[in-house]
Amino acid sequence: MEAINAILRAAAGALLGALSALPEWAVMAVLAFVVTLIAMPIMKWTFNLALAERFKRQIYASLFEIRLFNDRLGATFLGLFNVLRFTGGYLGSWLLPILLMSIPMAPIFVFLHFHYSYEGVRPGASTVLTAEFAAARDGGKPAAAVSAPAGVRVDTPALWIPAQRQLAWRLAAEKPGDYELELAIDGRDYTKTLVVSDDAALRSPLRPRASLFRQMIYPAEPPLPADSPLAAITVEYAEKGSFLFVPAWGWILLLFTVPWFLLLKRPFGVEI
Amino acid sequence: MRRARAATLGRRILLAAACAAMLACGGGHRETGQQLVVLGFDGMDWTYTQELIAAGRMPAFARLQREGTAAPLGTSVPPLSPIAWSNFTTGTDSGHHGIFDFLHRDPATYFPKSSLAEVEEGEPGPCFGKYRIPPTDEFETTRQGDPFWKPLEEDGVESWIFRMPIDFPPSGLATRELTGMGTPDLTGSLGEFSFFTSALFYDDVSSGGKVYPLDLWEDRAEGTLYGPENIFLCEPAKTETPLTIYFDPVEDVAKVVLGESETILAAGEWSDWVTVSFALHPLESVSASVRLYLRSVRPEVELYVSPLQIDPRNPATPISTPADFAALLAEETGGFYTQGMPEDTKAATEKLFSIDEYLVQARITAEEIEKQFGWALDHFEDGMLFYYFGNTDLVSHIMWGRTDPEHPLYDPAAAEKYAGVIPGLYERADELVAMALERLPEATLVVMSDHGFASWRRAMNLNSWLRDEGYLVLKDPSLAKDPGLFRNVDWSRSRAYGVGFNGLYVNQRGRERQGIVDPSAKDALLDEIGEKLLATVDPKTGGRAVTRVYPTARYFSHGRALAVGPDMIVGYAKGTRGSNDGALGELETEVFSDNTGQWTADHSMDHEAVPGILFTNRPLGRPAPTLTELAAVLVEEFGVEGFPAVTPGS
Repeated sequence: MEAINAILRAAAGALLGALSALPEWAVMAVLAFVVTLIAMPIMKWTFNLALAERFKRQIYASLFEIRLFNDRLGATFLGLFNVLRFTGGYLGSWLLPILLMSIPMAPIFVFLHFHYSYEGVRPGASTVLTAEFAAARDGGKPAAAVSAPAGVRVDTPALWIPAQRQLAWRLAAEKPGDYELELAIDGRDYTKTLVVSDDAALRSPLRPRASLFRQMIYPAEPPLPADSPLAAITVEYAEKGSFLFVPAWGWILLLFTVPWFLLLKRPFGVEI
Repeated sequence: MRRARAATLGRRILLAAACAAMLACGGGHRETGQQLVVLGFDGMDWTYTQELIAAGRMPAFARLQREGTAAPLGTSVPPLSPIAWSNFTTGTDSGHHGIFDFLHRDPATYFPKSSLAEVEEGEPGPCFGKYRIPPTDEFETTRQGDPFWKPLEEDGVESWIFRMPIDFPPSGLATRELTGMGTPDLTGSLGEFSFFTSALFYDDVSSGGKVYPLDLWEDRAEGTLYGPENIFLCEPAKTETPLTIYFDPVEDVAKVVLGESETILAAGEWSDWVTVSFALHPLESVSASVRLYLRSVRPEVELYVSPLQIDPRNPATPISTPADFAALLAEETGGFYTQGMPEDTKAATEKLFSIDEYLVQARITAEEIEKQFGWALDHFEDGMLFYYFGNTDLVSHIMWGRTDPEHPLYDPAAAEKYAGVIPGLYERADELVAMALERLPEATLVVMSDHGFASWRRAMNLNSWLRDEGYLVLKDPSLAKDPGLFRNVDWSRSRAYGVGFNGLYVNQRGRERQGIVDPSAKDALLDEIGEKLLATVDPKTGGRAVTRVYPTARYFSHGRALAVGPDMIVGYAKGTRGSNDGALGELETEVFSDNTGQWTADHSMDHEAVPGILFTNRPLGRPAPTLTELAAVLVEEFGVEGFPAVTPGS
């Protein structure tokens, strides 16, 4: 999984790096084109247009039935029920294309999330670095130290919270930059990235121990070794606001896919 | 009356769009080719400034004095900041702008009430389950009259007004405006801190905040931070968010988790701004920003949480013009205290903060304001910039008297330790003036203050004096402890009473609910009381306690606001001030007492004893001897005539 993630990181880095001079909305306009371009052949080859057309006709028929027999309560309710039923059927016809589209789309969206959904730690601001043990630990407070490169300051001694199996430090960002923090915990060394910048950049709030699922969710940084006693190392980045659980970049991307779809549907021969 | 409805998201978007459109169109402003920068240092004293200039400790002020003008600036009656700044803002006196004290009174109940801003409570809608359609409460400013930036803007001159006192809600008339003194915290109060302790036994504080217990576990302490009242609930209750403090078994360091925010603090450290959300209902929450101070981890866990600030990035009610200006400032310079008087003097007077802790907190507030001042100087180009600094006043209140050998609280060791605090304040003000001179070398610079300062040694309870002189009669004179708020006063036999620091009211028939003094007899009664007050001698000092009295109907201009204020203002002798208890209608056995509180200095005395300052780097068009005359002179610099300039006592 890490090999795939490494390739995706490199690809995302190259693509988003090439677009970094553009404002966020322009990047989303470009990416919306890429997303639409990926979606089109999948739609063309997997979307059952005949089935979808049949459901659409049945919806129209049910609506017509409601209008025609609006003085008969039973017929009206049956019509409403059929509208719901056939709408469900129409949406169901989208299931296979969506499932197939999610395979290439999921990593794109995950990387966009880690690129655009977090606010950067600004110079002068603080953040919290946490190392979480996978299992309860006997023997008191672990021997732990953080070494930060110039540009980042470690403000507090290690805080040990046994009940949460956590070690935590407060860090202060002094200068913009991409940093690698070095942690020495119980004789083992670990690293964790920290981005001090307000610009869009790949940020990794959590570096998990190697496991398929967590690596899929947190691909922005290589995982900790699978035999690590630590479950994860986290750096707190504030999440940007969202509307209806969708971040701003998601809405912009969605907005731009509409004109791209309208432009590309004829060349690709896609109907919905 | 200006009003501000609690802003909804949609309304804020509309406002932002309108402001953007206004800016895009230039807002109708003209290039004046002039920069007029007015720096207002609250409570900067003329005599003390002169002493420090003479000692060579204020070189920028010395330069102004040498190359421009310098003079004492006549203050308001009484010399209290809300009145003084309102005098400056409107060019009128209390008779017109209607601010007479920090406290006014309700003639229907005799109860004191804030003079700074009022909340007009709306009618709540119907309930749906446990929720209801909330009432549309509105803040209203009590200050009447037009601010001096209104005619400037009407003439196309840009005005930037930072933290002008008694300008909440924002007037909406300036190009850029950030509200100041009078801006409440998120709960609607003037600033209520929360202090958490794991101690089994603790004393609560009487005002300014509340002490809450922490439940102590092996590695953590848990409590609840309370927010504003949830107006969406049919059964009103405070919003709340959980607070957990995880502490290290060895080191004095802890992780403070407040709702979804977490920060790590060592004992004795202050946090940066932390955003806290309080859920109103499943789809909406209100956010506040707070600073945390982890006072100790051992032997007790003690955490101070600042008053809940209206979050400048997402204000629950407008605190700036345009509405998103506060957010812009926060983006550019970082989070900041939005409440009007950010220095937590209450934590100091309630002895929750040591003096050292208070000075650290006051310094934090000052640094934020100074950082924004730098931003303002860098971005201001044309027109008028007013910038207010309150630190000089609120630090002086706590610290000024400590170096006064005649002050009851005087301790030589403390006096030596804190000898540099007040001079340090003035030197910092000097640095800010130097910064303005350097960054805007072509600007006309005006440096002013609203009043001076004096050590507050003796307290006089005006209501106790009125009782002893037979003007205020008690229902039960044998009560050992007065219940306060005039609850033991027999209004059917009382002719006068005091509310606020300097206000004296006649119990007038037809105005007060149980008034007994005929309006035609009022002037004679006031003359009689005035003569007696002027003859009153403090038995400890042997000096007069009152050096001036001001019957308001004769002293102030006859504006429509006279009716809301007191009938007479008492000008205490320098060193004496009305007592805190007396201001709230509580009587004490003795009329006079030593001031042994942490609030060691004041200015609410005879106005001639505590003048402010006026320095300029070049002569203005004409002299401005008093606050009420200054604004008109300033707007005339842009050729705008006709702004009011009331001569005090005329």
